[in-house]
Amino acid sequence: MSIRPLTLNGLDDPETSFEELNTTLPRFQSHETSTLRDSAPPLSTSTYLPTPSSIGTSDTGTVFSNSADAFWSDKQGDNDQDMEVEQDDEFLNDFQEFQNKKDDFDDAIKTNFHLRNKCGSTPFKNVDFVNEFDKKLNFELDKPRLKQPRSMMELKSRRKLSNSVSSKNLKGGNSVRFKKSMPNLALFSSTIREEEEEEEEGKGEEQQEQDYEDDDTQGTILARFSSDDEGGFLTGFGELEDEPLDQTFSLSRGQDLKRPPFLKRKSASSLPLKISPTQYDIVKHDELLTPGLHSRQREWNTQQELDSFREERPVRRYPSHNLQLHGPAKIKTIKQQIDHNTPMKKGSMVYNPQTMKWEGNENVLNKFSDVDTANRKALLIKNKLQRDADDHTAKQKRYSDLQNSRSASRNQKVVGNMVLDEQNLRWVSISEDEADPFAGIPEINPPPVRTTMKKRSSSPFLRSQSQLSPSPSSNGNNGGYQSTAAQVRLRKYHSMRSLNAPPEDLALNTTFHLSSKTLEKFYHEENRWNRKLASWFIPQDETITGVDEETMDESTIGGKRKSYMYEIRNMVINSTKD
Amino acid sequence: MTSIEDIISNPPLLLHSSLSQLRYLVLSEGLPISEDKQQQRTRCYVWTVLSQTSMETSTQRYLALLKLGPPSTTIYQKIKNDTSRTFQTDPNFRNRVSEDALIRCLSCFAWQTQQRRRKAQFNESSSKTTRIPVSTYVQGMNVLLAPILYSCPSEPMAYQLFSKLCYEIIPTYLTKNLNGAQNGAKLLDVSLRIIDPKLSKFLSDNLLTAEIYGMPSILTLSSCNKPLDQVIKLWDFMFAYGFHMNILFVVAFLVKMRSKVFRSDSPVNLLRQFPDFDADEIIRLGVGFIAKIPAQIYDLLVDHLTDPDIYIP
Repeated sequence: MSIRPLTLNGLDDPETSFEELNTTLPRFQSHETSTLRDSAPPLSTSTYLPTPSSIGTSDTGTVFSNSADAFWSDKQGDNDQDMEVEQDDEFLNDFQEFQNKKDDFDDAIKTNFHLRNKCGSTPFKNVDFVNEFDKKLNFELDKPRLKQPRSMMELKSRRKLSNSVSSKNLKGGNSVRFKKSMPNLALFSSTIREEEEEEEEGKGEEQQEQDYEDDDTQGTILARFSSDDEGGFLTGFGELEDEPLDQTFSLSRGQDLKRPPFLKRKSASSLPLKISPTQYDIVKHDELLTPGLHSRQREWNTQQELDSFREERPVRRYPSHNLQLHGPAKIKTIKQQIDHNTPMKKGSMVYNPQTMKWEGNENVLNKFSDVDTANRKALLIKNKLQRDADDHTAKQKRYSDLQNSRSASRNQKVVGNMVLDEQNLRWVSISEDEADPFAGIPEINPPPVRTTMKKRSSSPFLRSQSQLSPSPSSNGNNGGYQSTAAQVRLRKYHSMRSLNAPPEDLALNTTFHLSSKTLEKFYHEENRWNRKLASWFIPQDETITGVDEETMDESTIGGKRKSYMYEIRNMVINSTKD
Repeated sequence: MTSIEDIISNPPLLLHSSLSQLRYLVLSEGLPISEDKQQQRTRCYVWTVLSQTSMETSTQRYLALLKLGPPSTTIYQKIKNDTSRTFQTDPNFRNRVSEDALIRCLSCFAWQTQQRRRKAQFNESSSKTTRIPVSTYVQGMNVLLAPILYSCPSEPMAYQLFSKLCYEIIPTYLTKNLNGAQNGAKLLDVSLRIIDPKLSKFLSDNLLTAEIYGMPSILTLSSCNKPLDQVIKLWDFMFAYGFHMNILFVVAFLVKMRSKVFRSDSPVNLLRQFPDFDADEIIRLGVGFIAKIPAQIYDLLVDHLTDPDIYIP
């Protein structure tokens, strides 16, 4: 997920932006708080900052989804309760830190609003807003709404949709449009944004106020996330920079850091929102959220500013005077905490931040230890069939002699009512009490057959032959009647394999195993010989040529055979006589 | 040479005359010693024709025996012990013949010998030759096999020739007590006494009997001598005119080195290993000796290869 394109293109590419939202936002509710702060400006600024406002709306959409999540989970408590519980605690703890400094935060907001009023285009009753804001802050402190933090993994696009819906329900009719539009904005088209803009502009603070009530949680969050943690955040941030996700944050941070002047302006303009900030929270939320960051960039506008921020990035420590800036920063910190310090849980897996490993599925490895002991059988069979086989082992042993020949088909554990006996590699009936046809026959395992078994298993060549020849176990089970017959058969099928080979001679495998190329050469040479010399042997008596032939007529053949041995003598004698 | 190939290539009109013609060509022209694959084939073909060893189904038989794997451990150990030393110092041989090939062929021979024995038990009417109890393995078989493997293009053909040689040409040499070879040693003594009485007397005076100095060359049909290529040429001749000539060739070896033997302080050491030889010279000498060999001794020479019960005066 590249942040850059998002920032530059803004909402033009809705899908990507949405994805980012998913990943980054859900995890940290701190975003919400931060967004709350920022949310104020777009509303106020919408008048004099056209583009930013649109962005703001889109942001709000995303933010809202998050906030909606929070609400949703609180009320329904449906999803991922295991995870949430743990995370909730963590989050609350985090927030507690901020709670102490809530005052500062409130002050900051108030100041922002005041500034805004001064600069602001729309008149606001700052005091009222402030009061309401304080009330809501207090109110929310009691509420455990922050529980919802979720790991990035959990959040899915559907969820956001659901969240958005929930958010609608939660918030008043005024806000409904707003919230509806939010997810749409984030996901899809700019037209929706425009609508939001209109909404924001036209309905202004009133709606926002109403929204404010609903958004109390966000407000509290904001309060808790004061700039106090900047230092920790920054340090943690430094650590994070190496990670890909951090890039997004780094961008946002850099913007934030540079922002202060800019933000001030906005805040000043948005001051009237002071009460509304909660209402605006939605809007601001969005901005604060990672997507918010993008939107902000636009708002602040413009790549020029962004570029300037980039350059200045290296300067991490920035004066904490801008509360709004800290919002995103906090998001980062929270993220860091989760990544590095917080044990995370996902299903049955627990993340151990110290070892940086996920733990909890060690038992899965046990399967592999069993594999080593199962040399003789196909590994696949063993693993696959263990479960099923356990149930039927007893039966299988009883019917150990059944259907050995079928062992070749190894892929299936159960076919019909037959079960593959993993130990003996044969199929056994699941149904009860089949007669054992080999019950009365003692088991005899002729040693030569066994040796071939071993070798076959070790040699692919032989394995391929195994289907042709009766399975070793069947030979053994068939017992006495076929010990020689089995050998004959095995000899037949195992081309180069020795039946009587002493087991210790593994080297024999190479000596007595000829490659197919060699065999081919043998036959080639024989054929060649046949083509050329067969005529010399056609009239020949078979008894002479056949080495194995025993029916040799010695008187004739012996005489014939020895006659040539006198040829040389005759020649010599004749020559000497001459 | 080309004439030999021509004769081989064409179907013989009359087998006997064609074989005689081929023998004479082998004697007169000889087969070239060459690394060429085709020349190697030609030699193998000539050998098979001269020995009337059909290669039909040779591969099938060989593989059938090979499937049986190594023979019993004792035999296999003997085989391995000898094959590892077979022509260890001859690089040409080592390049062309692997020890595994030697082991395979000798193992197959052991298996086939056992099968023949089993058959012989049920077939009392079998010929005298097949009743000769050829050993599953005796030391020296490896050296007998070496030139054949060296000269044949494929193992099955070599094995077929080897089994032909062992079972039918020199079966008496490979019995348990090496009857034929011992008779051959006696005939060597007799022949040497006839051909070179002075040398024979000198050796016997030094208590050197043919069993001492002649047995290796007799048992291995001179293939224990070097160089191997000259051995091959000797075998060319012996495949043509009979391996009984080997005895006379051993006499030729002795006669060739007789002057050295006379001068030697230790003729035993001198005769332990014959010097490098030239096959044509040995063949010439050996054939020349035939004229001096009485007919009855020549009969004994011919018979001692296949008849273990001959009486040698």
